Formats: sequence, structure tokens, C-alpha cells
Amino acid sequence: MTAGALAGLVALAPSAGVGEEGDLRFADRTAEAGISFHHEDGGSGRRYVIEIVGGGVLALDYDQDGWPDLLFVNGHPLPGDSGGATVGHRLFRNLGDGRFSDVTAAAGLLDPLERLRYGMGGTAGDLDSDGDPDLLLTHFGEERLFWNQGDGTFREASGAGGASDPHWTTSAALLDADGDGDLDIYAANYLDYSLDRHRDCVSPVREILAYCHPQEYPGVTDSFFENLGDRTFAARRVPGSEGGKGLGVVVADVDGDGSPEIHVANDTTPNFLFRLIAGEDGVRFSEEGLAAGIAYNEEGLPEAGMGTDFGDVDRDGRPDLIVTNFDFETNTLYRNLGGGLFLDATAAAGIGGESLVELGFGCDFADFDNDGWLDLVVANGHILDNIAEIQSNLRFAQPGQLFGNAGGRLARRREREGDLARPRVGRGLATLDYDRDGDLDLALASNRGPAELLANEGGSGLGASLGLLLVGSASNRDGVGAQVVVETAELAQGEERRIGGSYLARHEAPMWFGLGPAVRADAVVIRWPSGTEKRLEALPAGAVHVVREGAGVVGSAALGPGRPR
Amino acid sequence: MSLRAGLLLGFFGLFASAPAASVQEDPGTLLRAGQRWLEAGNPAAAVESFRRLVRVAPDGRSFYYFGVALLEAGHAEDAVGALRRAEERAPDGNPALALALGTALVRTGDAAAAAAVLSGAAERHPEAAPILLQLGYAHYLQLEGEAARAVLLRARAAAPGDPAAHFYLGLAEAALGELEPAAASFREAIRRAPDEPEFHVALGGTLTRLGRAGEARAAYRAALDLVPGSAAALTGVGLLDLRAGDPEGAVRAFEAAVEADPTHRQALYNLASALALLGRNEEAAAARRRFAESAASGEDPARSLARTRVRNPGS
Repeated sequence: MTAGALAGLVALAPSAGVGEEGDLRFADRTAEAGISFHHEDGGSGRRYVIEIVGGGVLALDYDQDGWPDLLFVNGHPLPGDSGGATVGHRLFRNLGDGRFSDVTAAAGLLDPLERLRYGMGGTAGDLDSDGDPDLLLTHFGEERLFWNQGDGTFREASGAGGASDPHWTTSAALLDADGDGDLDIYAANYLDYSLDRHRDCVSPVREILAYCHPQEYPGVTDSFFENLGDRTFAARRVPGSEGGKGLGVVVADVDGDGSPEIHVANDTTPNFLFRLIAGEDGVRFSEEGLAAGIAYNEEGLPEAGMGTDFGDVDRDGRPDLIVTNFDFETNTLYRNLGGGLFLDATAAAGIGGESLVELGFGCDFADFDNDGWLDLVVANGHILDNIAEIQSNLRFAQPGQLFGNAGGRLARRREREGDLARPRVGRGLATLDYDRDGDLDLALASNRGPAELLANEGGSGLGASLGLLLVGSASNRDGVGAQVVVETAELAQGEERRIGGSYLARHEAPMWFGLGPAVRADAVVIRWPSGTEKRLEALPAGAVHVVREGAGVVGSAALGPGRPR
Repeated sequence: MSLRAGLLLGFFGLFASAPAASVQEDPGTLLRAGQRWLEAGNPAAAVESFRRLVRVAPDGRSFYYFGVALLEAGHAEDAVGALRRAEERAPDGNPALALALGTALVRTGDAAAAAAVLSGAAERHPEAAPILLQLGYAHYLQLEGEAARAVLLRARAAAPGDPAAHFYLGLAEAALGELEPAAASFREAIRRAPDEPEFHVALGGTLTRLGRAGEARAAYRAALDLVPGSAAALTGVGLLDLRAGDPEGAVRAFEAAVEADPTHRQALYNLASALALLGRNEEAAAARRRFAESAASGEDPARSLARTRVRNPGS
């Protein structure tokens, strides 16, 4: 590791955000999109801990029509809840004209009452390599796996095809851990908790009933589901994750050795970084969070990790790491210095003070203004519905935040937040370009609140963009783990195709690259997980290009306002 | 940091002396003896005098002094017990008792209870700077930054010459992310008490967060001039070196900090990182082991307040 890499931290000073004419802002389009969904926590006043963890949101193109659809994951009535209707999870199909249609029943996802269970979040990917995304939904209890039948419907796999354990799973990420060309599943598990072991917890400040601190319950070992390639999975407990309280998980090749590493954001316990070691009897996990410098913050203290993401913030070719944390903890940015080493760069990056009072959950490094630099978006919300009674300067519902990236410097951009800044009990956050206008929008899932669709208005006017939809052949079908470098005259952007990150969420499949004033990418270099490499020249902006491994660009769909369906 | 003994001792006079009650264990004699031990800086001896005092004269005043001595001897939990008994026997809202009890509760980590005790006293004695200071600190520990700042502004107005008022206000401002005012408050505290190393360290940390590395380094140096082995100041220097791309300098600073305080968690953690950056992997692994041992030894009490802790009463 070089001193030069360290010296780069000095440059990560905050920059001021100044509103401009024609700037971007996020605008609520939920109602006109026809998305009507309200997260049910199922609470009865007893304050079961599970009530405060959901809900989740997945952006996926389930019907493969080129328009990203949305699935919101719901809770379920709990003992003592005499509340209203139980609607379960909801799938909304993107009609391509700004509207969505509830297709839960038509897609075969409408559960009869007796099958409804308490949902958290989930993920989606082509687990059976048949060309469409399958669904893995996480619950307080066993996972559920739904095979996409390719005709707009899903069929539930019995026993989740083995991709299930009885624990409380929160977030899940997909990766090809063993390099066999199909996607495996890492499931982060949270607390060893059951309703019959519920305790009443009292705030020492005001002597009122409140949700228990996670230290009241032990953590649970995470799960790894190895894809056996025949629509079944072999479930394994992940050694080294004992005692962890996982809420977020994301995968990246952090040291550039061609093998993925798995990061787990743990709540009040040290974060994990698993390196994968291939062996004769399969892949082995080696937990090295402390050695990598991501287990603790700069003070040497564990934080209350919730959401997480990798992204190359400073465009030095290495993925940096964000972990959203509790109030009066920062959202912590770990800069990747190379060689598998990270350093807490939160203070230098300028996000510490702004994130101190908020309690962060879903997050994403994404380029919202198409300038080629990854911005950071965070959904916030407290876990205690009565926090204002306990701590007068805090609120249950909290504003979301956007941190803009100018040349590697992150700074709050309040003037761009628009409806993102409205208070909500934020949890899951997924990014997608739902209207295919060339900039990234947001889908938000709130705890005991409405689903929201926030349109990025103006982002596409600030710079051009292109999307890359990778289709693996020798590699896994989703191209997860592919390393992509997009070059323009001004900037080279390296990103990895991943399915994971944020919190109880899944972003849409195309990889998005802002190109600023450039009308094309001069070159796009894709290194597939199989080891093959493809260089594409002069790829035009303003389109989603479908790139098939071994074949190159096999199709393109134009982006832009008013794009016909 | 808690308020110094002087703040407590300053209120002693509020408890009127009681007449002697026995010959062999004369309360007046025991009281004076205990007071002398306290003033002489021997709280352990004071505890013994006052322990005998509460046996022969178990009134509010005796338990108050017993509690103060226990507090100064470092037995905060026992002090809370004694002071609670004093409160039962003298439930008249005595400000000295409230201050002592609030201080003891802060030291046990129960800042919420401390704030409750001190809030009542502050209402009855709105100009009492020591009470306002301790109340502001209790709010600060509960991460109620706005409340802490409001109370500490009153404390500063009541005692503008008291360096502690500026220092605690700076802590509250820094917790609110108001770093420039915090730095100004710390500088005011230093102007009035330049020999308090903790003030310089606080200024150094704030200037570091402001990105003013040169000034931060000067603040840490000032602390080190006062206490050459200040682990906190050395750790601050190490972090500046690390961020400046000087892992060799960082290693030197962190190693010195660890030498001064072998369980300093932040120094051990960052020493491991700096060594790893230099490729000194075996030493880094050793530092990590020491860090892990330190981290396993218990939760940092200050940190434990950094999250609204909602507990099952039986846990």
C-alpha cells in the first residue's frame, strides 16, 4: 500500500452544494404511477422487535419487457393486532407510460391468508439460468423462492429448493462464489428471536415501553445457499459469522484478485468481510473484517450497521464501502486503499456531520446527475416510534439524504433532494430508471408507511448516460461479478455488476454510467467472471445496450422522454 | 470527564453543622476529620470517617458527606446509595445534595437519572453554574445536544470566567456538528485554563474534523507539552499522520499512545491499520490481537450512551 493512496484522503474534503437553474430534484410520482401499497408492521402495541425492521423493495424486470417493475415486501399481523386488512407483498408491473399496474395475483404471488408470513426484503436474479429473474424473499423465518416461469407468472419452489433456513433473514446478495457459472445466495441473518421469547423493554429515560435494543438477543449465524444447478440449493451455515447481527450484505472483488468478497453490515457487532477460498470440497469462508479495516469505525468501535454498498467514490479503480448506521453514529465511508485494506475516511469525505442525527438504512452509490461520479443516497428513519418522547431532538420519521459527488468529494445536496427530504420511516431503497428517461429514480419502502416512487427530474438534462444489461453465457446469466470499465475522454469509470447492497432491497439490473457531456463511451471493457474480456468501441449514450458474453452488443433500447413502449 | 471535586466542595457550606451527639464517636469530630481528609486529597480516609459518622448520626447531612467521599474515592455506585439515603432524610431539594447525586449518577452511566435530579435543582437554583454545568453534561451524555447547549449557555452566562463552562459548551456544540463554535469554545476554555490537557485534546479533535490539520497538530502538541504521554493526544497525532499519508509517523504516534495506555482501543486499532499499510503484517496482526482483547474487555462506557438503550429491566 502506498502513501500516495493515503494522501488522496486529504482531497476528500466537503464541497458546497449550490442550487442551479435546471438542476435535478426528486419528485413524488407514486400516485400518478398508480402504486398503492402500505407497509404493515402488524404491531399491537407489544412492540415485537420484528415490527421495526421491514419493509423491503425490489426493482426487477420480471416480464423481461425492458421496463423495471417493483415488488414491495410486506409484514403481517402479529399476535394482538386487531388491525386492518392484510394485503401481503405486492408486485407492480411497469406499463411503460409512467404508470404501474398491480399484477400480484396475475403473477401468482397473491398468497392465501394462511400462507402469508412476515416479510422483510429479498433479491432477484436468474438462479436457474433460463433468462428471467427468479425471486428470493426473506422473512422472519424461512425464505421463500419463486421460479419465474417466463410467462409473467411465478411458481413457488417447495422448501425454497433448499435455499432456506428457519432463522430471521434480512438482506440477501447473489454471487457466483464457486465459479461454476450459476448464482449462489448469501443470506444475512439478524437476531435469535421468536415471538414467544419476546421481552418487554423499557426506556430508562422516560420509563415507557419501547422496542428492545438488539443486545437483548443473540445474533444468528448467516446462511450460504450453494446453487447446485438443478434448481436446488445446498444450505450451509457460514463459519465466522457466529454472533453477527446482519442487516445488510453486498459483494465485490475488493482486492482485484478475481474472487468476490462478501461484506455484512452488522447491528452493534463488528462488520464482516469474508474472503472466499476455493477448496476441493467447495468454497471456504474466511472472515477478515478486522484485518481489512471495516469491522469497526476509526475509533475502534463497532457501529449499528444497517445498509451498505460498494462503489468507487474517488474513481481510483477500487470499490469503497459505505455502511449506514444508528443515530449519533456516522454513516461510515471506508476508502479502499488497495491490497484489501480499507481506512475509515468518513471525516475527510464530509458525510460525518450530516449523517450524525439520522438513522440510516437503505443506500446506494449511484450517479444521479450523470456526471460520471457516484453520488450517495440514503433512506433514514428511526427504529423507535416513540423516540421523540425518549429523546427530544430525534424523530421517528426522518428525511432522506442525497450526497453529491464532485470529483471524488461527497457533500450534501439539499437543493436536489426535493421529495426525498420529506420525513419517512425509511427502510428499503432501490434505484431504477423507471421511466427510461436516462436518469436514476428511487423506489422507497417505509416502515408502516406508503411505498414511494421518486422520479429524478432533471438528471438526464445534466449529462448523458448509458445502461448496460449484461447476459452471461459461460459466466452466470446475470453477469454478476463482471468488471466493467467505461471510458470517455474525461473519465474512466470502473464498476462491478452486483446484486446486493442497500437494505432489504434490490436495484434494477442494468448497470448505469453517467457520461456527462459525452455522446458516447469511447470504449467499454467488460471482464466477465469466466475470465474472458470484451472491448466495445464507441458505444452511444442514450440507450440500454444488451451485451451478451461472447457476442457483444446484441440489442439496444433508446432512452429518453416519451420513449414509446 | 466529570466535574471536579471543587464543584462539590463548594456547596459544603449549604449543610448547616449539627451539634455534637456523643462522647466517644462525636459527630462533629468525625465530620471535621472527614472534611479535612477530603481537603487534603485523601478521600479513602474521608470515607472511613464518614462511615463512622453515619453510624452514630444517620441523618441527611452525614449521608451527604459519606456520599461525597465515596464519590471522590471512585465508588460511584455506593455514592449513589448514600446520597439517595441523604435525599430520603433531607427531602428539601438541597442544591449541594442534588449536585452530588447528579454527579454520582453521571459517573455510574445513568445520565438520564442524573438529568432528572439536576433539572429539578436547576429550576430551583437557575443561576447555580455548577448545577447547570453538570445538567448540561448529563444532557450531552444522553446525546441531547440541543438541550445540552441551551443549559450550558446558561452556565456560561452564570459563570463566564469558568473554563469548564466553555469546555462543556464546546463538547455540546461539537456533538451537534457545530465545529467552528466548538473550536471557539475550546479556545476560550484554554485561554482561561491553559494547563488542562483535555481542553487541548478536544480542540485538536475538533480541528481535525474541520480539516485544519496544522492547527489540530498544534493543539495536540500543546497537550503533549503538558502531558508527554497523553494517549489521547498521541492518538490524535497518529490519525493526522495516517490521513496525511504518513503511516510511518502514524505508527510512531500510535505506538507511543499504546505504551502510555496499553488498552487504548483507538490507538491499537489504528496502529494495526498503519502497520498493515506498511506491509508489516505480523506486527499488524499482533496489534489486532491486542485490540481484540481490549475490545472484548467491555463496552466503552461513553459509547454505551451513544445509542438509545432500551433494556429489559431484568437484563
